[in-house]
Amino acid sequence: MNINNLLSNDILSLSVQDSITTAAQRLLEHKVSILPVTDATGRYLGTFDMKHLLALLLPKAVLLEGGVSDLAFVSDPMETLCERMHEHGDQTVGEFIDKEARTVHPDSSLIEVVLLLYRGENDIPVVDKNSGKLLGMVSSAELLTRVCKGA
Amino acid sequence: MHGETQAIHTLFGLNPLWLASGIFVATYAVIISERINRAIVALLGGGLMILCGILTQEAAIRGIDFNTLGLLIGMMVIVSITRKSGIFQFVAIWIAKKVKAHPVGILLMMSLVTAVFSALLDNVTTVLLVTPVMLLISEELKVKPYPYLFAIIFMSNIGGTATLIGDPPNIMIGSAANLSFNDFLLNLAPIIPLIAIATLLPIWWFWRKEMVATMADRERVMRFNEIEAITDWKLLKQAALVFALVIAGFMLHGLLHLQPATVAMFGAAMLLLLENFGSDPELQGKRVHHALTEVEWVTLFFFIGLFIAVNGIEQAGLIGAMAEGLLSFTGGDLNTTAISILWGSAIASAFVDNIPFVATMIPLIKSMAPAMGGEQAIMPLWWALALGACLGGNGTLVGASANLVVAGIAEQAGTPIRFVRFLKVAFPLMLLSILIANAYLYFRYL
Repeated sequence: MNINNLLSNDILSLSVQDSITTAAQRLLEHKVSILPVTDATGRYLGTFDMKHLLALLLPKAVLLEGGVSDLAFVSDPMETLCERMHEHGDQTVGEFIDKEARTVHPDSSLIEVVLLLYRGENDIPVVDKNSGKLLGMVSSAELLTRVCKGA
Repeated sequence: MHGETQAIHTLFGLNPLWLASGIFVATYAVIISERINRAIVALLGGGLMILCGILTQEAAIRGIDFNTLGLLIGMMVIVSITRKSGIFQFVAIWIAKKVKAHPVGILLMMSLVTAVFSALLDNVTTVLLVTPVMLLISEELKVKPYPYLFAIIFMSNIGGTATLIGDPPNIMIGSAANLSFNDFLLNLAPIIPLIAIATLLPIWWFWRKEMVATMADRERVMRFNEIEAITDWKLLKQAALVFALVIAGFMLHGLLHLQPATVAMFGAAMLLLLENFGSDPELQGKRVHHALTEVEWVTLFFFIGLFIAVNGIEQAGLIGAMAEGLLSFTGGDLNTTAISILWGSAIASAFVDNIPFVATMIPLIKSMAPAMGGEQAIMPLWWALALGACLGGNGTLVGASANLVVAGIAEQAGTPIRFVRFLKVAFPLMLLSILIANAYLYFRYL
């Protein structure tokens, strides 16, 4: 079975110029936790994750390496969270894009995809090896649906 | 450092003085260039001293000051366990609330906490504990963190000067010159509050206009619940007990005829025992492994390599020659020698790592003792070296490891501390602190 068979039909993506507000709306609207980011020609550039949005709500001091390890003592209310999100609303996806996210190719090994998903990768971008074009995303849900149905 | 001089058979019969000096200068140069990790360079330098025949295997081992290493390891283990309790966060939040989250009050109190922590723990550990909490508080207050981070750097180096265990140069000096915890407390600690206040006032003056927060933002910090910062009450009590015993042990180590390393290592073992008593073997294994991996092995191996390299130049006669040079420069006068060491150490430590500098100066000062009236007579030289090397680290961003650690955290937080901007304020303030130290040495000892 080819990875292509696991791809969703419509390719959802973001561009680097999209604002954080747009990115948040699209993630929530389509009920996905991660979206690939592409350029105008459809070439894959990286991913934008719901974790990027959550990070915007947190004080920077916890996101540092060796930073504050827990926030049980902080009682920032919802208004503060909204304020923080609002402050970043005009920033672009390009400022947060994750270029290190793992990708696979249509001819990647199926079991490697399972391993990546198991290791906590969200949906994984499938990229054409030669052109670098985004072909779609492969998700745990889609893979497990196929496995349970017996392919 | 402590080896006895013996016949040296070098590789190809090369002149041992030149060979050892060449290896040492090259080691020093590469350490300063920061192109290769300093531990690797020091170990290679030490290794070359043995391979080239300047030191025998036994002489090299004798040069390693295991008391310095033991004290550092012991304290690192104690801190790595203690920090899991959340006590350091608790203290920082508690004092911020005590001053009603006023930005200037926080500057003062955070400086006090940093100085006190730094006197009891090593500087790098202190800034690693204090800086993230300070960033969190400044973020909640919506004030620029720069002045606070600047003060943390200064106070960590100033506070660390006060005690035997506060800064690695003091640990090395104490061990080599057989000076006790109380010796440091009685001779260095008295001047530290004055130096701290004298440097803190200009810091406040420079940035006073930026230290303003609205009542709403201060209220956010006032809502912090410091009790929630304590994550493990049982561990906190155990750590507090061990910490108190270790400090008491340091104060009494002269009377008990124990080296500080023994006190620190025994304290570490006690805390490990208390933490793990009654736990299953698997959990014990995990916890002990975690505590020991938190030890900064890179720093320790850096020390090992350096001790061997310095022993090499001592055996080859370079230290003796340098001591003679310094004595002829100062005419053997204690006043001039002490003041030269103070200012020389301060300027040098502002630009190069103070650890190799102090490692080189220790045998040099020791070898001057006979010419200057014996070990007791040269006591002011040790205080001059400690004050110069520890306070000098404030002069530039690269002057001390703690400065670089704060700069690293600040960079990650999007508030970079730049070399020149830091230097413009820090260097004059460092000179001010040395001026005060100079007056103190002059009136008390010279």
